[in-house]
Amino acid sequence: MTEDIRLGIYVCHCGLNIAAVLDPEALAAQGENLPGVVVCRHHLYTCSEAGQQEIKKDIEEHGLNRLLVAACSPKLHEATFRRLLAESGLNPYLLEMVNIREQCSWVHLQEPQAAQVKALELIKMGLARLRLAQPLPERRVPVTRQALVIGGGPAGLRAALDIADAGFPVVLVERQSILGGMANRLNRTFPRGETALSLINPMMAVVMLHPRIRVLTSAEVTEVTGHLGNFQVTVRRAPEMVNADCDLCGQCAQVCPVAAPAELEEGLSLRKAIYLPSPRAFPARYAVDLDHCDRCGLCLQACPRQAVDLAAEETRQTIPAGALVAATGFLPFALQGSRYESWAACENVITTVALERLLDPYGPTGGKLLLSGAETPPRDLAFVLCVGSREEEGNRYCSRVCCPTALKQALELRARFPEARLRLYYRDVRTIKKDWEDLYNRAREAGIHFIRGEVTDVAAGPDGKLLLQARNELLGVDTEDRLDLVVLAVGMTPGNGQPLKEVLKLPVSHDGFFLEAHPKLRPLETVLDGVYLAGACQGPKDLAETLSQAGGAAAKVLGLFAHEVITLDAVICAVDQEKCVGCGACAQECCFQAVQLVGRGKEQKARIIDAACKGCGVCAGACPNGAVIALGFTDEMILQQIDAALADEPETKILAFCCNWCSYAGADFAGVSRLQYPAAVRIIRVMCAGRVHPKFILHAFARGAGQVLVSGCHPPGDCHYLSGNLRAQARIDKLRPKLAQKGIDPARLRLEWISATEGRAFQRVLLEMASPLTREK
Amino acid sequence: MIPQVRKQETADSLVLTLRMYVEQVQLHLDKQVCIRCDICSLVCPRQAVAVIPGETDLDIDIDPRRCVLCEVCAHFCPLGAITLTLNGQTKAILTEHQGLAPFLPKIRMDKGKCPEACAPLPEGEIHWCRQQLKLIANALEECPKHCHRCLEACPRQAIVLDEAGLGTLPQVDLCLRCSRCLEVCRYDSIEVNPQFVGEVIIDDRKCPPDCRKCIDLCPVQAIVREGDRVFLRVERCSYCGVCRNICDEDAVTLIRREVVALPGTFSQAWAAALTKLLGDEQPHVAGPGRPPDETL
Repeated sequence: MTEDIRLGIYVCHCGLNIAAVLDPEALAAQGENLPGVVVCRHHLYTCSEAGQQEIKKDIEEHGLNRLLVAACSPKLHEATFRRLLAESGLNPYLLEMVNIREQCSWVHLQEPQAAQVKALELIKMGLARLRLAQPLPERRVPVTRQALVIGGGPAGLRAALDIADAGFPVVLVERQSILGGMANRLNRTFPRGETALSLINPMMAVVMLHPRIRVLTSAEVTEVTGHLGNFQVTVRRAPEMVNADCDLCGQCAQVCPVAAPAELEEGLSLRKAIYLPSPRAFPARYAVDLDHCDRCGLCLQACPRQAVDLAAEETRQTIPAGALVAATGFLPFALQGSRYESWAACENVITTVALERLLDPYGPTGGKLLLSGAETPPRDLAFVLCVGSREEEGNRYCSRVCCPTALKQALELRARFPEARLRLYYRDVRTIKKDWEDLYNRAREAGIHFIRGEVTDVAAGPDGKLLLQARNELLGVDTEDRLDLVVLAVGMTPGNGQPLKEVLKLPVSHDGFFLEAHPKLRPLETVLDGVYLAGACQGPKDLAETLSQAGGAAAKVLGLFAHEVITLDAVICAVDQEKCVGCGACAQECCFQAVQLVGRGKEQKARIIDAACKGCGVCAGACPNGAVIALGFTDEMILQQIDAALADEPETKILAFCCNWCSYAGADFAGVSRLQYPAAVRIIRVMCAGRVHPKFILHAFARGAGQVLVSGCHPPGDCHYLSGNLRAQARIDKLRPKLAQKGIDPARLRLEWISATEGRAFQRVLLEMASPLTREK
Repeated sequence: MIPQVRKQETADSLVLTLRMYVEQVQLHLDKQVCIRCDICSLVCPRQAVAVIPGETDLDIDIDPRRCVLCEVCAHFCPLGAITLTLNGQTKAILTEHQGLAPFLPKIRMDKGKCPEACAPLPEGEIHWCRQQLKLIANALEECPKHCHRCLEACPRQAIVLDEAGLGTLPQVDLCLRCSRCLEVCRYDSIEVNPQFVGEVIIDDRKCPPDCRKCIDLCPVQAIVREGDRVFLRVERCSYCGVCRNICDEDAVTLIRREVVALPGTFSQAWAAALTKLLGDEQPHVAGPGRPPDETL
């Protein structure tokens, strides 16, 4: 290592975020004396233009070749400073970001002195790693300029159209046999009362006719490999029982003997095993439901165009794509299996979704609200809001659209039944967008009775009526009302995305909706580069917001497609052929089959396939000889970081290895939430918990660490690298008995699973781990 | 909530109902009429019907999760114990569209060929009865005046007296086409069309001593025991399969060689049902609560 290392340290105030607890000036002063440091400054906002200009000037004037920025989490500004280095002619990987905000100043508000000591040690750890940093060659890959949109509802349609109109081909994959998603079930939309048909069908028609959009219905994504700009997506299509010759004559359905409830009509009407899913949606073709078909073959004979083939088989194809847009939508809250199930079992208790179908003139009852068993129009109707939303146990979130939906439907019922008594039981009425407040005012003026309180039970009463029991909050009394019809305003649940979550390893928030990369800064992207989000799969929203978000996601994709070649992360692994003994442990443990064993017998060596390597470092964590070089996270770097962390009073410290995607983000989240924990912890970031080699843990205990924490993503499915977390678990299970043999209490080593939103769990774990250390003191 | 098929069972009936707001499809199985043969469980395209053997009798069950109310069982049931309705009206889409071959009429009587009534005689007069082949008095209990051979021969009381109480008439609902009436009729006035052509073979070496299970359950009383021997006392039975279902010892073999129905081209459902009836498929004599088959 003959290169002269010239380090520059920049300590950020981040306004008062850091400066209120730490003393950046003092840190800068201490930093100047550290070996190899040429420049050491502090700045109010290092990421600002002024701050960046200062760094650039220093690089030029002082010949700096390594940069350390002590500021916020690398997950925020690593890219910013890497770009800065690149613009200054340096390799972007000669950067170290030390987290003294989310993981120091924000979480040790009560211990400023300890936080100061910690901040300096974190900087020393960062320097230890930075000194060993080598320029990493960038990988440039061509971008496949074709987008794949998963989901054919309003979000998917809008995104596909925007991308295709800009000139790029799109493949649209839809699970059902028709496009349109949940919008097919709507009658009129709020606030203007336009029919959903008039809004969505033109989009569907354009998509079907667009020369650059290929629509695959009855198709599901089963596998995705590759990376940003270069995905290979395997799509499985259900057997095409009815081909394009179908002209909707309906003879097949007439002769089909099977009876099944029509799911798209909320089970309000009958359909056959061969049926037209929706009279208006595209593509207009009959479909066969194999779960109900009894293979009688009458449809085959009845079809005048021989369009039916019950022996068709499913097909699979692999489609290349540069970007994926997840637009899998939502499902209405399912009453079955919930605490409202007994309510829904009563006659004349329906959901807003079902009411939407009943009010639709093209719906199962031709727009007539027929109550089972009644000859006269209904007299007493009630809406119950917040069913399946804002629950103590269950879905805690607000589903946003149920209030305006119920108001819209209440107004429509008032128009149809002027003599009826309409009640609306609410906990709150949330009409948060423009024009929605007007709905509320109109509903009040229309004489709809708003009752604030909690509905405790709905049951069948005498004379075929329903009995609704509620606690009226305004009057402070318990009420019992007899009603003809009860409509439950059900919320939104993220039902549809489950298979996609498994296939893509898309993280979800604790509500179950897909997690965006950042709620404010990156609401359309996910932590997976190249996968974007649009629509209700990311969170409850109405049609307007869905379409707007879809346009945004399309813009992100177009931003990617503006380049023909992109640069991929250079953090991958390589095998030192001299040290490798060909044991094959790395090949066995790699979750992406990115390691090949080349040669035979004693000559066998491992070699890593660059294009397949994701940079997790699981191989490096498995290698008994240290032959795998995890670029950016080498063994020496980590060991030096451990040494720097445990240089002073190691027995008081907790050394934590946190995986980049979940646990490090969870620690950041604890910081964002200002959850306090002792300053005794020193976090070493690794890409995956599977990077942690047992020798790191042994080294840490040998240096006298009080406690060691290894933290990763929840098994089985959350790990960004598929099973890196399971590898870590296996290694630690094997290590514990060895610790005991060495006279180290195995309870001092903990393995935890902490996800990106589990800030509280992170705090709890650290408090638990810190308590024996403080007791010993 | 998306409605599902719901089952309601009593001692007399098993009803599967699919209730969708204002429409309703029902399957009604009359358990008093049902003889627990295995025909419906064989032909059901979704294996939703199971005939469950007990100690001395059989029970029948339909799985509401598998049944799609498709009418195949109703068509094949030899006694019409299963009926399907849509909104209260009979649902017979398969038959209306020539999906399944109609079976030939069970029994027809040409009353013109039946013998004339015996000549009137003074009350109480003793005379020779041609039918009963003995001397009887002309009293109502002893002298029926009309030939009642078929009525007496029918093991299921499927031939009854007409309104006047004199001549015989078939009660088609109960008939199982066993043709006993055909065998005793001397006047060629009866036409019986079987549903199946086949064979029942009893290997009575396997029969436990004094076991009468199949004998007691046979709906046409076709099986008798004489000491150690157990055998069919008739040439042609109804080939329903109850004897095979109840036998624990595997002593009964039922082979159906042909299904007798109107000729013509019908649907794949017909072809599939024939394969199951004529082939070696075991009937669904299984316990309830079997989970649905994912590979269906």
